[in-house]
Amino acid sequence: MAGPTQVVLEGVGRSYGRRLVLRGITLTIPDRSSFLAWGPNGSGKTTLLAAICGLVACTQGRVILCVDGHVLDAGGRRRQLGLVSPILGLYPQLTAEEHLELALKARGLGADRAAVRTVLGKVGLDRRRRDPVAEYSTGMAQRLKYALAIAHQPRILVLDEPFSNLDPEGAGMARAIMDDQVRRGIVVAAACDRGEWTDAHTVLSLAPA
Amino acid sequence: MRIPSCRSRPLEAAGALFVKDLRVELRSRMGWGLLAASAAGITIAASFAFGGILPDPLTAAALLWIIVLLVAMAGLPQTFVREQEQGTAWTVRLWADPAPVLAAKLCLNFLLLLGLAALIVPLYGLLFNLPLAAPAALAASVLGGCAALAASGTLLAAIAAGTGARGLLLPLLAIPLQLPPLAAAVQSTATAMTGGGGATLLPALVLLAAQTAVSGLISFMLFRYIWDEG
Repeated sequence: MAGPTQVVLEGVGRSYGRRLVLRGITLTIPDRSSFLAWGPNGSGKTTLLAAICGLVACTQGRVILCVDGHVLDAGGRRRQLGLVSPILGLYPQLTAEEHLELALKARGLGADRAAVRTVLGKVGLDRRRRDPVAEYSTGMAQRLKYALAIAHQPRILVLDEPFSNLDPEGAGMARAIMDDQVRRGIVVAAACDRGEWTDAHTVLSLAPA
Repeated sequence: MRIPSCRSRPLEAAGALFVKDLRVELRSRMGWGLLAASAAGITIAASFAFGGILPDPLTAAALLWIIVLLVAMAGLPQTFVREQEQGTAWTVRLWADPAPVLAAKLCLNFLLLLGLAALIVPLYGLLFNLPLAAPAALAASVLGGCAALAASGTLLAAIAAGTGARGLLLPLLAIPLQLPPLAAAVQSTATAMTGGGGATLLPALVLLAAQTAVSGLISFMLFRYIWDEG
């Protein structure tokens, strides 16, 4: 049986040179809950999410991710985190299927063809799975990012602007994925508009530094 | 849906990343084809400049490796630069441990250098009318030289792409890092061109292998810091 999942931020701060983007953020996101950071452009939302994912180092404080009572190291973070974000690029030369297989194998996980098709079906890309990403619309690329974020069944799902570029059906798919994730772990999201996602259990307002 | 197993498989990860890098290179319009054209162009230009005649095997070997190095310096950084420019460096950082990423890039750059050498060496031999006294020894020298240049060149490319100062930093770092393997490759190739084998070639090949091993080891030790901070 899986143990609890937790995201703990202890005085998290990040500066780029003299410019302080985040300062002293302290909070705990408990298991089976959701968190939304919202604020205008330049308020540090993407930096906060990147710090949670370990992609950006904190210049103050620290981020602790716990799964099953264990603090995750870098390798554990790669296997237990899924991220949808504009900062994540896709390979225009590769197909959706190749992306999924790569994402699983690079994490040291098995890539089962049937499982890959199931995930792509879930985001509505099964019929276009063998097309190169160069031929995708921005909405389809966003759907592929969702597939890549959930394929390894992470306990923590991090979403930066979760509904951007998605049509109403795509937004519904994203909401279903978020609801499903809250039932088995944690959702951390960031958006410009507070009203974009009203279901979050905890909300943090960020202002530009 | 089957739950993926959570065993760490670094070799499988490196293999998947290598296949990805190879697919991206082969499916890109601007890539290895352009490098191959540059390699052929520089080799032909060199033969015109020297009138198809070289004074001795050492000069012949030196010119050969200068051509390989020139083309390699344009090609080796591409694998990291492309990741930075496409925004996929973040994606790979999120998915993979640094060691498999480096292993994949090393293999790709070795393959690129071998491909370039496979084009340059026969063309060079043909244009300069070089006698093929010891083909196996020449092949061993080229193989060793490519491995040594790939090992040091991949680390250089990672540093340059990671710091975002590739324009100036790469040439500055390249001189001290690429010169020892280049000198050893020239020495072993010159020996192979004169028909020397076995006993005369072995010390040069051992030196190349040692330089490859040292560069590779340093690369794996440093890459985590370069990649994560990049």
